[in-house]
Amino acid sequence: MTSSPAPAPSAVVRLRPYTGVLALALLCTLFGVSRPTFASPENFFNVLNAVAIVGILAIGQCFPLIGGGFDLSQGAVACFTGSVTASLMGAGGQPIPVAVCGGIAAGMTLGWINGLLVSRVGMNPFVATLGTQIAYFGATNVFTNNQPLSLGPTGEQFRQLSFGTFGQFSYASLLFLGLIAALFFTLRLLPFGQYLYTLGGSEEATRLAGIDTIRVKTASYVMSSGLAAVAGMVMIARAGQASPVAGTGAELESLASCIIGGIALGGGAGGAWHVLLGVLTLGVIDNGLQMVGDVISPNWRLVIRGVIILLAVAVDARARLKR
Amino acid sequence: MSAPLLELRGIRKRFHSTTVLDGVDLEVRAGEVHALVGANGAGKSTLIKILAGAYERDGGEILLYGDVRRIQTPRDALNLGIGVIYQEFQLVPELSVAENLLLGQEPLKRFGPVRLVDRRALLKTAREHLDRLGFSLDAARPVRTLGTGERQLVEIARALYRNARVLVLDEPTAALSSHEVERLFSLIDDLRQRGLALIYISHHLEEVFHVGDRISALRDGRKVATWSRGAVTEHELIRAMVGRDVVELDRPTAAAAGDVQLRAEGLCGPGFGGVDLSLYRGQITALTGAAGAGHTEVCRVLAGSLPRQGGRISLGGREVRWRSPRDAVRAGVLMAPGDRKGMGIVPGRSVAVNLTFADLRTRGPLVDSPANRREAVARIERYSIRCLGPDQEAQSLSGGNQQKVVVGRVAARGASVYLFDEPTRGVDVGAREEIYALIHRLAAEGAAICVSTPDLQEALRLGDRIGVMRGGRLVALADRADTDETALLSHLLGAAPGKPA
Ligand SMILES: Nc1ncnc2c1ncn2[C@@H]1O[C@H](COP(=O)(O)OP(=O)(O)OP(=O)(O)O)[C@@H](O)[C@H]1O
Ligand SMILES: [Mg+2]
Repeated sequence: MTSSPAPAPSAVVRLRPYTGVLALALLCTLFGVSRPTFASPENFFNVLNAVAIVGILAIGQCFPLIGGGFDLSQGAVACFTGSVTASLMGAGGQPIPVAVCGGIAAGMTLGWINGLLVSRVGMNPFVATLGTQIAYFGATNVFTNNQPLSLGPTGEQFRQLSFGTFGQFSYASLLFLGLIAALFFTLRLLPFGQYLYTLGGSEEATRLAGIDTIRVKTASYVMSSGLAAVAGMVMIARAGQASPVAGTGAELESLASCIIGGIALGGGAGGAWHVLLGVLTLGVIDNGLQMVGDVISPNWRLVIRGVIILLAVAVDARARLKR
Repeated sequence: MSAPLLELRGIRKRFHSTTVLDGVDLEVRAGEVHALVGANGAGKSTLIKILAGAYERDGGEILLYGDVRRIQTPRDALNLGIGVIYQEFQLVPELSVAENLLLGQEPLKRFGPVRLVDRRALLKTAREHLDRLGFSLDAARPVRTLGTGERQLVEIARALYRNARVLVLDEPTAALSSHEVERLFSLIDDLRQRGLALIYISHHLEEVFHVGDRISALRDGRKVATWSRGAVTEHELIRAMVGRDVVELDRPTAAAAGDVQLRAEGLCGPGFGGVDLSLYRGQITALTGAAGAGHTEVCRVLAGSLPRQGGRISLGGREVRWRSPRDAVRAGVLMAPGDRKGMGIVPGRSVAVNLTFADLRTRGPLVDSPANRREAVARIERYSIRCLGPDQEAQSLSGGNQQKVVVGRVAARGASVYLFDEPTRGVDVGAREEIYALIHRLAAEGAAICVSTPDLQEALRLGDRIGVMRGGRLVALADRADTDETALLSHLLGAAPGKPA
């Protein structure tokens, strides 16, 4: 090698902060060019409505992720709390606010159990939340006797959560956007947010600073499950009943969204913006592929998703290697 | 004079828009130790990482035996016989000495189509190699059970196994105790005699004058000058490094010690036992000992970072039982950890966050970001932290500046007891004085202070009282006026090699 003039940092490194946006823009252009309806305003609101459930789950997922863990029990929590809410409304005849609060409280309790297993017992988050995922689905089976639960007389009103609109926005999509804003606020402005990042960066340094790492960690799982409960409610509103198998695999969707958005496994990085980006990217892929379903068989959906996840992670890894 | 074995010409490196190395030349002859000095952030480690192929360079060339060589990956450097011992060890703790030595070059045995590691040959090769070098190390022992000095020997042995012709030691003595340093020096002499070209980086100038045949000083990414030993005085060297004179501030006579603030009785913890120690208000107690003697662990137990396994701790006369560092912090006992990579710096976060997260300023329930930022800027100034700005990732600071961040984070908070574990590890001469002054100031304000350090000189400079630990026991504790280096050294080494009793 000769003493050449200083090469600019490689393109991968410089573009990394924008790769997510660029990828999303590229996808939108591709779909938009091949199917003009893709670029219509109606379709935009479609996508937003379609991603609401996964989006809310992803907002929850990013708490344990940033703190250096993750939560595999989200789908099961959503399923369980959906059933709890439905039975409070249907069989229990409770008014909607009571049912909603009951569902969220149930979700937070399950999250608290996850949190204690990880923070106090010191279990690996993978093992702990895989175990509780199975147990929580089991609990739903016991609770519902494997039957779908109806939403009862107030059900129609409750279904507005999914089908009601404000202007062009569905309530569910507004809920998602509102929660994104709340996430931004929590991570940026609350001490809890700050501690979550330092916890993900170095647990021991955070502990030594006198911060109650056990509490911060537990809280991150409570948030994850609390938001899973909210997602569970949108699920039952959308389906019109609580199915005992709803939410299966949802945690993988939320993890994938976060990772595509650039929230690294291992913690310490990422934010609300990344969640939004990841969720929209997955949503656009699904929506766009439906539209070009006559050209590309829908069977390719998962392959394409997988490839996009791998690409996102690979770009991230490259950027980190290059110095 | 023989031709240089290794020659670096016009090496340049930029990170983003800052130039870290600006045309550095350096040559090392066979059988020579070339000492490299410079303040924190001068670019020493960056230069070495370029030589080792760990960083891409932006300009300049590397010559071996007069030929321009291509070094773009660590593998290139290894193949060319360039061995680097980084300050942060690169060994795999769970593997044995032998496995670490031959990592990546294990002897294989064929079983039909499969090839397995030939464990017997591995152990044999490793033993022969260690014997040849005259290192008394058990090849079968897991590295995790070795002390710092021994790990360093393993690293050196590994580099030599790969036929290193050039050996770089980046701050090799930072974690070694005095007698381990002696042993390292005789090893360096030996390697010099074998005709290796050595680069030796250190902030300890007495070491530099001791081992360096030639000395080069870096400042702000440029080489100031190269001298042969004897052609430069310590004073001139410091001026070249920091661009100003560094005055050794001596402590304005130790204040009369106040009451006991923290008392440990029969304290036991991981790796030590039966320690009786009192920390007085306004007084600095220095704990020293060989690596692994237990002084670090005493600090960590006192700070609640390691579990107490026996004995009592009382604070202001009342017994306390920490269950976590949080309990200790709330009671006013703060520790600056020694292991800055593992327990100090939060990677991925900015300098500003690293300086302020432990005592966040809030307005109501919200983080007061502008106030935290102002405070961070003030602390960067106060502790002379060299960085691009408060938003630089703390992990990318030079080693010594990371250390200042860790010390500053703790010192800036009010506390009644401060525990500093190796507070000046990897810190340059100028900054070392600043950290000493800072610790003195905290003591003058009435805090009780304990400093753990493997460095006898530092213990004598800082401590009003000096305690020596050996094999997990506190074997001596004396006022500074009543002791000297010889006495401390004899305690440190013991009549017979120390064994945990
Ligand atoms: N990956 C990086 N990104 C940005 N800046 C960096 C990076 N690595 C090093 N630097 C900067 O380069 C400068 C030189 O750092 P270097 O580690 O070479 O210093 P040093 O001379 O070894 O100091 P010390 O004695 O403290 O170890 C520092 O100012 C540091 O902030
Ligand atoms: Mg360095």
